[in-house]
Amino acid sequence: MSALPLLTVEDLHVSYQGRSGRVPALRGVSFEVGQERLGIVGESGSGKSTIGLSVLRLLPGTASLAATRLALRGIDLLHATESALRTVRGRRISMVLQDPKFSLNPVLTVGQQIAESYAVHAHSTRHEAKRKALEMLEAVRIRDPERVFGLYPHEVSGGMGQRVMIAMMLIPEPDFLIADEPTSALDVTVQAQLLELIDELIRRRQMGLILISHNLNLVASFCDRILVLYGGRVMEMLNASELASARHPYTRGLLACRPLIDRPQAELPQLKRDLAWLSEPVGAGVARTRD
Amino acid sequence: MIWPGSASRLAPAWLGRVIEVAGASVVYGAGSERLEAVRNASFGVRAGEIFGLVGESGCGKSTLLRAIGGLVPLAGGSIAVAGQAIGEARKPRKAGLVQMVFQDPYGSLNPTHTVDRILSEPLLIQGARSTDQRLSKCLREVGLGPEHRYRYPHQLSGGQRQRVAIARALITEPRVLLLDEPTSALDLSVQAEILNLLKRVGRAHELTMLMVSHDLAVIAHMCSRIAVMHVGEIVEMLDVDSLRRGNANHPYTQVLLNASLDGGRREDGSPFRHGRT
Amino acid sequence: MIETPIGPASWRDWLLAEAPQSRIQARLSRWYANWLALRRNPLAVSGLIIVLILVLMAVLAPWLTDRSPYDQALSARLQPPSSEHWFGTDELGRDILTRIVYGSQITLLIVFLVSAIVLPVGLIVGTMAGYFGGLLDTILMRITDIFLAFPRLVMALAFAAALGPGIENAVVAISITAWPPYARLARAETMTLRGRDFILAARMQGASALRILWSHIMPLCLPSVIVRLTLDMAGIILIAAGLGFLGLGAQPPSPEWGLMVSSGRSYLLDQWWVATMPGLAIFIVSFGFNLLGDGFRDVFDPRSQ
Repeated sequence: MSALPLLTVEDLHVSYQGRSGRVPALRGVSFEVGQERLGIVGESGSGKSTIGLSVLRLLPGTASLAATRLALRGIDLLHATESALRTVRGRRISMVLQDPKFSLNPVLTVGQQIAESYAVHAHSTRHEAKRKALEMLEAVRIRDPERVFGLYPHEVSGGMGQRVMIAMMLIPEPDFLIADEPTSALDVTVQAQLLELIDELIRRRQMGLILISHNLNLVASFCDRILVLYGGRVMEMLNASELASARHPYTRGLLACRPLIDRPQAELPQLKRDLAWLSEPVGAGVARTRD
Repeated sequence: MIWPGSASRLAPAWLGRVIEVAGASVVYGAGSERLEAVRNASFGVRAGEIFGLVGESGCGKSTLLRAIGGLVPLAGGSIAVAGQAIGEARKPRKAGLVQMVFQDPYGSLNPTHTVDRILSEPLLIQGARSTDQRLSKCLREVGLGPEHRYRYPHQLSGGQRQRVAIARALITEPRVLLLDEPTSALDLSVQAEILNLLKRVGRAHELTMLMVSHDLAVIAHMCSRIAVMHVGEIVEMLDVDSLRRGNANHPYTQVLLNASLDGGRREDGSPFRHGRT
Repeated sequence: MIETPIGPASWRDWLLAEAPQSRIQARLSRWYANWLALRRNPLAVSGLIIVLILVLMAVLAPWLTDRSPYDQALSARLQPPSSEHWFGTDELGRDILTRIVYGSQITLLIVFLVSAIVLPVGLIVGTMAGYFGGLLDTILMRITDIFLAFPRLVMALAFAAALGPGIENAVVAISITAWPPYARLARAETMTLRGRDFILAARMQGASALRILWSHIMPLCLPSVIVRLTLDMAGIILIAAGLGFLGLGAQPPSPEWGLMVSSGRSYLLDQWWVATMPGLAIFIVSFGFNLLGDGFRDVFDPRSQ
């Protein structure tokens, strides 16, 4: 684990334009990620997907973003111009989304999209881009790269579509990857394969990773540290290995209400939400420095 | 013989099974596009039992569930619920005996109907004249109140919508409840509430339940016996204790169990974080 | 004791209440929410205003002007717009403004009658074809295709010519050619809705096909059909005007706008107002319906919910 932070987010506030006024999505979120894996866990409405979009500055025009600091390895993402951001997206930070059905362009072949991802950042020839794309398809363990290159997104399975997505996002060799529910739309057996792939690629390329998920188990087994999000605020930040000894009542509540395969329970404990969690001072329960 | 109209649902004299599936097959399409979604499925569910059907997408579990609900025609074999073969003309009274709760809480409610209308429709179909009492009672039972009664689905949260779906399924006083991934689209904390609710109403109404899920932990929590499906066939049937212990006979079941442990492991079963500095 | 005020403030609260207490309140609050959404769109509001003006003109015609649309004054033929005749006079000395105001009644009549025929027919044919599928679907759709294959104006002309001139026959002719797209629209919507979980739930409760069609499917098809109808309104008005123009719709001395444009044709160069004023009226009303239809579409679009 590198001691230097790759990504720094300080006091991030984001709100969306709703039908009748502004809807706050993130309220003062702060964290740092180095060359390690941070898992961001939260339920629906917690704002976890907004974090990924905020870092990449991909929020809709009507959304408002404010932060004390938003930087990737010294590059100021907060005040960067759109053209500067375009060089950062893909080349320095990339994002993998949940469902390849919606995140891949349906009218281009899979290979064309990967090649385009390369060509845009490397300013290469089409021939070179195709070669790189085929290499990348092999790197994501697709057995028949030449054949798959020419397939359209609707012709590939969910698992393969995600591999294509990963190929597309990692081909420009970014330092950092944000994965927003990358395995939620996949079957359980395919999930395992995909996670192994991400694990290997992240390790080999020495990248940092933010894994956003609603699945506490997944995040606990895959990541080094976990950030628990609720109502747009950080409830707790802890090492994944210490999840069982979490202190915040929300985290403990989430842990307790999981059905466990190996332990029979008559009734699952229910999470009692406390409105006080939404107005506690941000420092409470949040570790600013990593230990 | 089995008498659907018997006074007590769990009459000891009735040795038969509430759901009896024998060699059921469901086929979609024809010719070159023919797809056998379910092949030769056979199993039985006893009265009051919660039976689980697991498998990955495309294995046919939802199709089989729908066939039991009479929504999808059988290409072969037979299915009987409470002694009545599925496929016979279902008059409203009889139709109310088997009800289903669907996966997507939003898609399973008509967006232009209020909760009141959604719940009174099944009663009206059965010819009931006054719906008010039964409706309020049903709402209370699933944990909703009069303030929810005249709301539209988009004014309810996912968990609340699923409660309405459960209320709708219960209001006709069914014997059998079919559950198609009832909590997959819900948050973890909401899932816990809904699973508790399902267990509670199952006990209170002496329901026989058949639950489909891809989540082994949820299945293990709810069910006493489980059938594992793979590519349209039932590959193994086991009881929940064997599932919990990880004692599977069929290799596919073992693969499923491995993949479900701890939310994710490598293919060889080793955990991800182990062995890294 | 403070009396609770019964004024706009509390009506609004009642309509926006989070927990409606009755069916009526729930339904009204939904309509109110839709109204608020529509109101936010300035173009849609303009369209609505235009349509309302049309309706008011038609309803209040006798009070808006004390002249008659049939009063001829041959000594005052073809007068340009002036303070006496705001829109000028036509070739028989009739006040054009008055004729436009009374003509709005005819336009409105055509709009209502065509809608009243086309909407139910299209909905019934389309939902039945979409829900039952199979042979019924094929038969109904082939019938629809037959009607769809003819160019609208030509078909309307043929019917009008066969049935004879007159407003009622024009309405019939237009309706016969206008219903097929609505059937196809309703069918497409029905086919998507057919497999939705709440329909399956209704089937499991033993709902008859009729109940499912009436209670679930038709109300859900209604928004897109209504949007289509308002957008089509412009076309319907223009076809009616076209029929009038060709002498197959309204007959003289009826103040139907298309007929007015037709009779003003010969005077177009020197006395432009005779044809242009009714032409503008047709244009503005068609445009208004278009804007309104667009506004409806945005309001009913499920994605914006």
